[in-house]
Amino acid sequence: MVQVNRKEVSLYKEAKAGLSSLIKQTGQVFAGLILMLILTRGNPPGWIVASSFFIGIAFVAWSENKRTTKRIGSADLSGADLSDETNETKLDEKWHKVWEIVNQPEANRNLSGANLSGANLSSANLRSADLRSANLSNANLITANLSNANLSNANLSGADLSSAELLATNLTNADLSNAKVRNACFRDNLGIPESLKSNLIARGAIFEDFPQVPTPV
Amino acid sequence: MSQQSPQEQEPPNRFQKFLLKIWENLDFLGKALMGDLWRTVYLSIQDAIALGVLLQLPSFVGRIIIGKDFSSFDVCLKENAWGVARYACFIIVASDFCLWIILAGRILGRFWTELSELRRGNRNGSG
Repeated sequence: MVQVNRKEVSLYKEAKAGLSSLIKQTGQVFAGLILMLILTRGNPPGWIVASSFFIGIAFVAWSENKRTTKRIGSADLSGADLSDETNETKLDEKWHKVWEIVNQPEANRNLSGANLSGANLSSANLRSADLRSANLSNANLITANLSNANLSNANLSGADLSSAELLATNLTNADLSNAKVRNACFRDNLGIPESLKSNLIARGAIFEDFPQVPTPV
Repeated sequence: MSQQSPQEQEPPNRFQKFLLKIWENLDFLGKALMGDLWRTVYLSIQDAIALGVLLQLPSFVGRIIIGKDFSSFDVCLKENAWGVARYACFIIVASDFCLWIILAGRILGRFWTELSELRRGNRNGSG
């Protein structure tokens, strides 16, 4: 996945991201070494120094691997050209789907059971989409249009639905835990019990069909 | 997530445009010479330079100011417990140590990514 990302991201951006992660990792490893020195009162035995060395390397390798593989998840695929069959760029199925949603907007898309976790779908047109049991955890759905979509049993935990449009959306058994719903617009939704409705309103959601309680002056 | 909507992105200023141009040409040249391996090579060199500046600087400054060359933690304990040299020594040795940990870790991390990429059968594997 990272190769695709490298083709999408300019060297300038990659160099910048590399430097900031380098500083972060240096800080973490340095803090670990200082802690090790404090715990051993400045006189660490050889085996502790050796273990710190190998643990440090393993931590940095893990962190770097995580960063380089994860970057595609936050990559903005809008405008990316994947139409050329001879293009060396090869995305796995998940990111192809994301690319299609972002760049080939169409209503009534069938995405039932799709894994779209962590995807950048901001401003995506998912109108009337079939998203039953889809995994949209931690996805970026800012200002997305989810009107008339079927999100029953979908996982929206941690998703960012700020300012999204969810008019007549079916949310039966959808998991909205930790989802950001500030200014998300709800109306005529199926499967939202009153308790969840109040909870969503408290989190900043707007229910057009729910009488808003005027705040006392 | 780190995404920014297009509305939030600020247009690059003159200096950024200049840097972008340099990087663009450098990327073009590097790719022509090394193909996909270029990015990994570039990032490893950048890491080495950045770490050299970040972590070898304390050791260099220490050598000039204190006039001593600290190479291991044992040496630090021989310094006066109330003196600056002892703590400077700890920082210098720890930063030297840190440099190799980060450099080795990052190269291994990237190698790991490339390897898993190859295993997944991506034709773009640069290894």
